[in-house]
Amino acid sequence: MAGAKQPPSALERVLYKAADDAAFRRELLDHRSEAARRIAPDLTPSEAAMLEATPPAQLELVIRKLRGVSSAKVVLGTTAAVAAVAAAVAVIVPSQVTMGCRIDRPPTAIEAVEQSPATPPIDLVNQPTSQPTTELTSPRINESTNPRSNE
Amino acid sequence: MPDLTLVNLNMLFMRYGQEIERELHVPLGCLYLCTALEKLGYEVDFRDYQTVPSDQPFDMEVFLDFLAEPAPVIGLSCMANLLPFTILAMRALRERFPDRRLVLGGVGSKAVEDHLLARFPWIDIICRGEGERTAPDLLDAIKTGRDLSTVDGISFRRSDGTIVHNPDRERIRDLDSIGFPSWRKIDLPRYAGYGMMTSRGCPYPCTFCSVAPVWNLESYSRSPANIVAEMVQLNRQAGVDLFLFQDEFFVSGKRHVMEFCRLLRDSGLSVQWKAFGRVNLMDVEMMQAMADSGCVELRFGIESGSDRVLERIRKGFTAVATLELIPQAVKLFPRVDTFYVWGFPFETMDDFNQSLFQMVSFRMMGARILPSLLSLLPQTQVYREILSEGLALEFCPYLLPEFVFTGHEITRGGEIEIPPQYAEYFGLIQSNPDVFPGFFHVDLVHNVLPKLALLRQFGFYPEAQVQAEQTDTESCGAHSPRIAPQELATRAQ
Repeated sequence: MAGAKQPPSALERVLYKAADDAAFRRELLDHRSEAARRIAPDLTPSEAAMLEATPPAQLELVIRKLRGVSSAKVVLGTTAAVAAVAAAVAVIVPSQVTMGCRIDRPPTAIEAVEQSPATPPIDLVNQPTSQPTTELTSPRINESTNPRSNE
Repeated sequence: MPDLTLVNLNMLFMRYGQEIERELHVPLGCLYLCTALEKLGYEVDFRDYQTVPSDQPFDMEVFLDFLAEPAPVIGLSCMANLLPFTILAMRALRERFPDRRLVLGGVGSKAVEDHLLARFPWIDIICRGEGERTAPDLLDAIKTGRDLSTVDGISFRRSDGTIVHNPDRERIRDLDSIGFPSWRKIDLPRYAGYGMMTSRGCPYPCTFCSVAPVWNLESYSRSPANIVAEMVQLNRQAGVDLFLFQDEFFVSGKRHVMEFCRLLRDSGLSVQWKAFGRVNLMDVEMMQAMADSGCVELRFGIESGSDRVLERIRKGFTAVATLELIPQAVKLFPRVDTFYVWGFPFETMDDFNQSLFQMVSFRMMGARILPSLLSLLPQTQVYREILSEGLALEFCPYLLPEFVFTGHEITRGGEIEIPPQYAEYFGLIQSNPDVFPGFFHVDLVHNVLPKLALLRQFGFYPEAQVQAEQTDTESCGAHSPRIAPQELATRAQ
């Protein structure tokens, strides 16, 4: 949930580090995910993509604004320390999620896309027609409500 | 006998698994209308459906019981999210009370008036725009038998089935002249703070937003003295000490805001308030004055961290401007909310990653992040662009834009479930996509779902918890069945 307290992600640790360490800041601005991985080996591909996509001026500004921001900061400078935390998180998080039990949950949205059977198409044929007030035309509706049909 | 039964159907009602959350918002539009009508001697029987004493407000029998013994004219006000329910409710009213005139008002019908009158014959009249002048004129025409074509600001159906759209009514420019909302019509302590409007409309033509087109791109503000006078009256007469400025254009100008803050401080009121800011219209001096006069929460429509998207949606500021301002706001206010819109059909993954980076950064600085899936409201330019480009709309039975959550659906984590008893409701939506496009998406597979997955990965959306409370009880008695409410931009608290 937005704002939920969680352990700092690899990206967050990288940004805190850049805010505190001028040399690393320069390295990060120049080499992005490559530099980030040296500080946070557990940087995910999604986090790397975010770092790569952000324009230099924005990245620099964020780092500047983070200076002095209290982090309850797990600012970790060494690979060993990061690995230790990552290992701890890996142990703790699943048990928090399941309370020690495995839950056979139904599929998430993404999984449902992969798994769901085709659903009936929307019938537009029998719709009443009238002139739109502001729209240019009527919307086109995909023949199926099953996203998989687009693939 | 009252002249009008006026029904507010705008409400925040959510189902999280088996739990229900409701938050009562002051029905400002209806209360302003009551003031205008009662000033002219009309008797208004106002009923706020938010207060219906039932956990099944969308059961038509519950609705009809709530509407027992209505006046000869029944007016219903709704936004786009509850427009489908309002249409079904009006059909039920027509069957129960065939002799009543049924009038639809509120922003929900804007831009789809013709479709509504053509497809739903039980809707007699649609009021367009502000009601303070149109409603008295309409009631007079109905009472005296005057031809409805003489009433500006309405659309209606003649007895031969012809649909007529009368000219727009001129906007009210002097908002100080319309009086305060008739808050005596409601039981104020039941509501979440006191919502207020300091302006109507927005001059910024953001292409995804319905506010500017709903108000025809015209914006008018109340004077600072008039706003403070209402706050003083509410505080002294009703003990209100928390005000929620709900309009998007509170910060219409620095001089205006500074004057408001000065007058509020000079009034001696000890109150708190929340308002919307705008990145390109604010500076530290203005924010400091707001904080010093009791502003405890500032909300910003950021929408995107990508300059390409910001330019495309005509937001009027850049990502760098956002990154300069928000950290300053976080230092001044106990809470800063940042709203993002995701799922634009033209938003690439690079654009989205820039937004995500900004969200992560602002969360680190202490801002609250409120992302919302794009709702393709029919008034918006984005929707018109989608039509002209021939992009397909897709309805997804497990994912709706937050804006159109109504409580018909059951929210389970970040996904929804459609209960069988509301099949007709969702059938109405699916068979009228040009009336209810806000419930649809563009390119679920490539545009929406990958972005949702990333938002979940970074904790901005809850993981789906589909029927968790049914599946976990046998396997794990310690697991809580409670489903955490999703952060919603529409929530006041």
